[in-house]
Amino acid sequence: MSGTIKLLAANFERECRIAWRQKMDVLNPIIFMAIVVSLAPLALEPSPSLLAKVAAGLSWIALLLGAQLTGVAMFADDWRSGWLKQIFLAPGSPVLIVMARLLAWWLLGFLPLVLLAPVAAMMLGLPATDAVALAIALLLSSPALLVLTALGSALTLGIGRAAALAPLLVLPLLVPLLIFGAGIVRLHADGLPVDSQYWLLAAFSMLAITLGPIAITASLKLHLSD
Amino acid sequence: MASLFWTWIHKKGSPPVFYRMADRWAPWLGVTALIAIAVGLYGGLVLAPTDYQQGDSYRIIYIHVPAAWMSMFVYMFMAAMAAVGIVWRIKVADTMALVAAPIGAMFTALALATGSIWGKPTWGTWWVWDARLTSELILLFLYLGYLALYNAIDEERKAARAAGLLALVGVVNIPIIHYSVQWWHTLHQGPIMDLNKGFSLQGSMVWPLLTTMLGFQLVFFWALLRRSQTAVLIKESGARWVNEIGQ
Repeated sequence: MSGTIKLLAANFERECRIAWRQKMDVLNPIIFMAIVVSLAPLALEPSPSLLAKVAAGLSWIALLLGAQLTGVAMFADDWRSGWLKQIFLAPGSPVLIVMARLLAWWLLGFLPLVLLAPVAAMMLGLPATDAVALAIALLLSSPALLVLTALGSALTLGIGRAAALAPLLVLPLLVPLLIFGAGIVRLHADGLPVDSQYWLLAAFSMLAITLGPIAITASLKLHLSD
Repeated sequence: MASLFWTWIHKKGSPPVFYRMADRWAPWLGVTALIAIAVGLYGGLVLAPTDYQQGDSYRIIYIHVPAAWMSMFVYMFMAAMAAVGIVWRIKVADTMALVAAPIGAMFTALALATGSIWGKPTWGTWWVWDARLTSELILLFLYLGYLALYNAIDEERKAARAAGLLALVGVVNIPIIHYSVQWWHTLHQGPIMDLNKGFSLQGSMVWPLLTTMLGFQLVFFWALLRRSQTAVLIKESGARWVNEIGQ
């Protein structure tokens, strides 16, 4: 058991250090997301009442798009660096090493986006109480978002035009999260209870955390043969 | 017993045996499908009474409902085949999943198109962003994503497994499409059939619907077999049994 923890911790530390050194991989999605949000008042009419109405939905869309940019960077260098071979050669389960990678990317790649989204929504005029509901919904769905994005990244690894293909595969899969996640803010604004929706998002995330790393490891293994 | 079953599966799964079996079955499926659809459409378009609310425009359900049902059925079939292909490495299952995808995409497109045509007289608009319509559109994107991933990977086995994994993950969307009409009370009407409540239609409207649904189901299996045969021939081109068929 302690070996498992040690493996997880060592890999987590490694992933964090690498992500920290390649700051652009972490920063680019954040900047991208901020740009998407600031395009909205330009594209729509900049009336405060309209923007307040669409604020939560827009920040959801911006988050999903920003996450796609994170996904592109997620396994990009592992193909060339040999990491991909090493995780299957190393003693211990490759699933654990993948989990450490996911954990590090959640912390450094997704958490900033999740924290930025409610702030962006508030800047567009979403009331603070609704922004709290939005933040909880985003936080609860972020593990599922992370796993599905990573899966898209892993499936398209080594394909020349992967950067364009992965979002096409992943975005339709994110629809359930979007439907329930964005619905929460509307229900909350109407003063209705939203607990059951929180539980549903949490259930999606639990399912993703349980099965996701196995599916991601399987997709990574596909690309080993050549 | 179990080992006998697996021997049977692997024997039927071998390309030449599968090809000949499909050749025997496909004509029967095709003819039965044609009859079922013809009878169903006659019953639906001629015999069934006019609806007191929607007039004759409701009659598009005899195409729309079977197409929508098949769009989901084919996805589940495709995912099941993909799972069989991934777990037991049966090549014919991978092939079936691949050839089912364009058929499913066609049914989805047909459901969207007929729904749109139906929407114009009943709702007064070609398209609304209603939960059912949107999730059906997403289903179309799932099919297209599956095909895009399959075609993007050059190596056959790798492509089948990667696309298969994607199809399995996409299964989450099927219940959402199915229950969207109940969960969100939007413009799209409730389901025509409900296992608990029975039919919301009259008997003379129901049997043609069930008949066309059966027909669509058979059309799917007919197209599946024919497309699988083509795919098997392309994949095995150069093998001796393929040359023997050519002669």
